[in-house]
Amino acid sequence: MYGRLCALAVALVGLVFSGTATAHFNTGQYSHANSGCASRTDPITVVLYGFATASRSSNHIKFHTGWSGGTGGSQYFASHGICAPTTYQDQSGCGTCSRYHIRMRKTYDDDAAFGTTTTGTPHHEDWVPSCSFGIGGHAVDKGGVNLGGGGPSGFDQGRSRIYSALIGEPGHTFGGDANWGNTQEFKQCDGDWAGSHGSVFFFRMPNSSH
Amino acid sequence: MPNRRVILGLFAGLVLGGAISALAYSATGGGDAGTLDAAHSDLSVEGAAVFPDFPLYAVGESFEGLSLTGMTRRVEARTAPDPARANFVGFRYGDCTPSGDSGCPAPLEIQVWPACERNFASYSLTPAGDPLPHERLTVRGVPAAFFEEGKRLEVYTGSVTVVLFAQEKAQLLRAANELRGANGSARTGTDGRLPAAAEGALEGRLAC
Repeated sequence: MYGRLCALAVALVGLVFSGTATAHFNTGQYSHANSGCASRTDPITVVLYGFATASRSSNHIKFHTGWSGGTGGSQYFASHGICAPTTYQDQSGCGTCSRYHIRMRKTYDDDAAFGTTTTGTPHHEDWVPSCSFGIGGHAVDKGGVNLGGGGPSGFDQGRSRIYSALIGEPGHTFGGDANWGNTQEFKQCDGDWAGSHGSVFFFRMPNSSH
Repeated sequence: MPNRRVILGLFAGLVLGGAISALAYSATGGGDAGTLDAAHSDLSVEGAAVFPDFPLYAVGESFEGLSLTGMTRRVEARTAPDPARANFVGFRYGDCTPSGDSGCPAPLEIQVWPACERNFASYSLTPAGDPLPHERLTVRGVPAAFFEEGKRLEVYTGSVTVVLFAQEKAQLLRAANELRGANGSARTGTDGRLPAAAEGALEGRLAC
């Protein structure tokens, strides 16, 4: 519903970018653990568009969330038939803290309506000391059971956190949502399973950095 | 095929007859020796059999050597501005080992959602309404569609959307052909067909 309500706004944005782009928006729906992009690990839940290079997207996310540059392991993103590694990641806490965390990668090509696009996999994850044979590791929060017990999954929390950070900020038009249905669940290092509920939020990035 | 029908019938009888306790979800051999991980399941087998909210479909206690290793029940309150929420029962077959901070998917996962909350009309690639890439087909007499470059198959039957995730199209189709009722309100025809999609379900007009 949000998507339809915001379609006009997106179309207007498209006018701005018409003539500058060369391909349609194209992306995989998950990040992957290895360079073949055949090992899904996190669902994509945000698309940053407009002037959203990965560098600018990371700059704005840091500014509006207060997060810092990330230290998580790299993952891979697919778009336009190309599989390529994470270029930026930001996080709200230290490498051994429970935190919000996002990995991002610009799509290979621009889009006539959405301009330069970057996809991201924001999530909330707990630090679990017992993971990785006692070395410790991060586990994305599992989703709630029976109306609220446990709350939204860590992937759904991540999307909401990006929304709350960018909504109403100058230059960051909320472009609406699209339901991709990318709800596959992923086993975490603590044995829990976490997934997205399938929505993807679109946020515009301005032609400037902080 | 007749053997398969007999096996299907036996399974349905166990479920509907309340003899679920006879099913022991222990290792069943084959390619994956997993057991039901009760500590990380939101439903028990017995709980799934009497699940009241909507019909459930799965592929029994194992599929092609993959044991039923877990069940998920997610149902969350809606939170603005998000129009979507999780509301499904999931069946996981086989297991995987996460690496570092990267999670991993089960070799086969089947999620059952109410069609009034998830259906073919739910999707778009962008807020402007660009279609999410897909390939339509018919499975067991009902509409279905591949998404995610053939790694997700959705089967639209009765009042539910059955969502299957796996690595290959062929395996997804084999799993869809093995779907059977996992609770009392699920039905399958004697000819192997699934119930027709409820009126308006595919178009997103089915009320919850």
